Amino acid sequence: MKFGVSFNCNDSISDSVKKSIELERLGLDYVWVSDLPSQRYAPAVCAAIAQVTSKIRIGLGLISPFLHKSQQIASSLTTLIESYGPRFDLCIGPGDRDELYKVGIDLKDHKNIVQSLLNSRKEISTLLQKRGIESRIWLGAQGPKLLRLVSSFDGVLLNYSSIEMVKWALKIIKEEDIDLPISIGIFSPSYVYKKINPKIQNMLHYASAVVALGTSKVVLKEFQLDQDLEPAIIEYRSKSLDESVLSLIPQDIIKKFSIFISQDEIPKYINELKNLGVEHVAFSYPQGFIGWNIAKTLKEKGKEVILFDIFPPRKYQDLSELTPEVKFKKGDLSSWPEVMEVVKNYNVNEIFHTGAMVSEACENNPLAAYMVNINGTFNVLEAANIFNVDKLTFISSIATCSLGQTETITNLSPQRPLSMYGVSKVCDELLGEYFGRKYGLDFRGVRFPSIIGPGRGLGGLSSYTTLMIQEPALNRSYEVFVSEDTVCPFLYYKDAIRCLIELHDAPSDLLKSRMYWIAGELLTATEISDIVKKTIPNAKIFFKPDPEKTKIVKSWAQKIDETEANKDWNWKRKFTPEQAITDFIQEIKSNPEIYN
Amino acid sequence: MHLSIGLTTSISSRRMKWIYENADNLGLHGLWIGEDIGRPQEIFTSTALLLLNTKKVNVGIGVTSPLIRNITTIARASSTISEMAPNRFRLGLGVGGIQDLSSLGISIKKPVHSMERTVKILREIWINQGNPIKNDELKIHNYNMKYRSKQIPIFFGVRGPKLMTLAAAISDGVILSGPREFVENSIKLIKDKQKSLNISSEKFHFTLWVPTILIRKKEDIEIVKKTVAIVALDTPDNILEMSGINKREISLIRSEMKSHGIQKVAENINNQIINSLCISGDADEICDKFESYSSLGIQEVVFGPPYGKDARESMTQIAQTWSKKL
Repeated sequence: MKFGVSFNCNDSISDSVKKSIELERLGLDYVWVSDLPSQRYAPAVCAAIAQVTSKIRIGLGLISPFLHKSQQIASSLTTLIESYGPRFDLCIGPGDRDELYKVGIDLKDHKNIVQSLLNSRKEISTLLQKRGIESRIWLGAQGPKLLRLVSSFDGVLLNYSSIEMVKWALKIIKEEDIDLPISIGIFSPSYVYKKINPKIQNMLHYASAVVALGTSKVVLKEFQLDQDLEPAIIEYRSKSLDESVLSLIPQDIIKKFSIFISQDEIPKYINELKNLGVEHVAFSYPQGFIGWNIAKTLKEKGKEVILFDIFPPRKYQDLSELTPEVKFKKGDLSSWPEVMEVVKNYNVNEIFHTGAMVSEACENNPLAAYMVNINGTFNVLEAANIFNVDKLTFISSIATCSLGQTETITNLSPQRPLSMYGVSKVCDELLGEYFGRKYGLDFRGVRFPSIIGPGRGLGGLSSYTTLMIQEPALNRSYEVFVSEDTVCPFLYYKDAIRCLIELHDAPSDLLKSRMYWIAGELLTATEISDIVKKTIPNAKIFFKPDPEKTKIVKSWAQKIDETEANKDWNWKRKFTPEQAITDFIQEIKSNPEIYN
Repeated sequence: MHLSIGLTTSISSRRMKWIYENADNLGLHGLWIGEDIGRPQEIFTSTALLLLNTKKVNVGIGVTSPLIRNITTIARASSTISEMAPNRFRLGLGVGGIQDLSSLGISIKKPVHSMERTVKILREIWINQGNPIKNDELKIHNYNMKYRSKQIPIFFGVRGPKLMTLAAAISDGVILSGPREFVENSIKLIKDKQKSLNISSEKFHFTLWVPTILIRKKEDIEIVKKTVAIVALDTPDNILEMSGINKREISLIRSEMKSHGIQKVAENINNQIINSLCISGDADEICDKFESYSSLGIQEVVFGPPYGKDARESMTQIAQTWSKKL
């Protein structure tokens, strides 16, 4: 999915330039610059943006061939590409009927708008080809006649946002039996908000009203909007768009022509578009938080990720396999300057705080545990607060339970752990909640059971759950240090990652709690061994229980109630124990050189 | 008197880049870019590039025709590029060549009226006092530009006496191109008109832009002759006659062009025609010739094109010689 922001040049050049620099820094793919007869001249604005950016693609358009001659459009593109390189796209479409009428161009005078557009596309392409200029040419479209032209273009940008309307458009496009790689995108007035600002909301309504009022009758009729919109259309004929016209447009129509959505809801909407085959979303004026939060929320793959760790990436965490946006910064959680520096220098917006000393190491060195787990977490919280980090998701542990908890653990169960690790995690949870209350930091977290997965370190008393699977998969024997009947709830790492991301993306107002218990599979060590042996019949798993370690593990809570997570953000495990262990073994066997 | 460099939209992007990268350091007063209709570079986008990549020089369009774009496009394109570099942009307007316009299906009707109407509407749009703009001829209905713009100096690049007197009345300056006698007559015409209208000519700006070629090698003389032949074909008879060029010689040039092409015509170009229609010579000679126009009232001279065989070297030499003379 490519994301862009569309400017309609109502901003000053200097503001457009500043925004573009920021959008490029945030990793957005496109800046589109629309050319409207009452706003700044788009090709010149494109030049100003290209002057200060180097990577982001710049889309000239939507630009109307009814206002500009094909030769002039082709020449603008030539000048831009020859000067700034081949990072310009073009989007042509009829343009805003009313705005064009005001400058002397009445689209009613053009008998065949569709053919004219097609001719323009051909003329522009021919001129560009003659000059050796390469550029993708998109069609800005709404109605069925234009949609049927899509095969002559490299992509189509639909000027509506409702899923229903997009589906309809895609159906028409597919009827044309297009087998070319056409890109499908939408561009729509947008306001992605954290808290609604009525002023921007009003601006959005105006922008959407312009689109709705300019929409072809065929489209309005198809969606039975024509009658509801008619009073506004009649009023609009005799005057400019003002409050009185706006008040005649029903809210549900406004919504169909705009993306008005909270930051928390936008991933779901984008997923719906993605599932339909939409590959490109351009957020148009007014954009709310000037597009920044859109970028932060949406750049799933383009998101710049900073891994902050005291140890460099291990061999099974090869950064080259990740996107270029993933960077590693060596640093110590317990060092305030290092934590502050990484949050500040990389303009960190969101944090997954997963770093900690594991249980065994904490017992061996409580002072170090205090410095890393408690002081380190305080450092992260403090940096997040000072540098306005939007969200911090934290991993706590089953180890925060009181010892000897035999009943089912709920959010009301006491947390009076005896281990240093457990103490540190309880302290961290309370600190996070405190920063939320005191400074409004969006802190949220999960208490995980033992996590099993390839490449997990050897430390921690729950490590046997992983090693019982990993070592036989590597054709090595393994001595289990707990008794056969010991149960340690575990969660497969793929579920754990998904769990963290889903909690991170969950709308804040749905979260009734800040910390959630996550249940694990309850299998004895023998049961784990049996499943492993189904896949690896000759697996050498021996039991050599250490009474002390067994006692500690057995004292951990086992039955966990995760109903709150299920209810609040729809959390559900996907892997059964058998699926998890089989998948785990397959992963190890497919990449023995990494895990060996 | 100031020195500027001229270019057109026929220029390659590489040469344009060299010009904007060196314009400030060469100590130039300005750059003027003329629109060759249908050529690869777009005039307003190119002007934006020139402004974005320079810090000191003035940049002017010299000229574009108001007949080939919607007038509101000219207004907002001008105000957009002016916003990039406040007070450095100048807009030059000219009716345009008959052949160029007819190739676009545009016929010139009432050029004086068109130019007058253009200037009036452009200024109304730029002032943007909130009153919607209407014009029945251009079918403009309740138009407003939705942002503020400064007034932009408008220059006329025109030749006929009626357009010249209109320039005197409503423009901020003229770009004159033609034989010396034509330039002298035009300046007189404008000043007389302004006097009769009681308009102060103090702020009115006279710019001279004629083809200029620095002769450094033999090949440069070839360029001079070819350039002059093309200019001669494009210059109205009455203007050629002003400089004493024989009418017969001109009709001979035109007929030779039709039957034998530019090479043959160039062979018949004599020194009188060259001296009338172009400024050429070594750097000192060119600067002296430029300087000689000062006495006529010219405040700014424009060098090029075609510059000479090595355009970059020619521009550098002229700029350096000019600054030494200052």
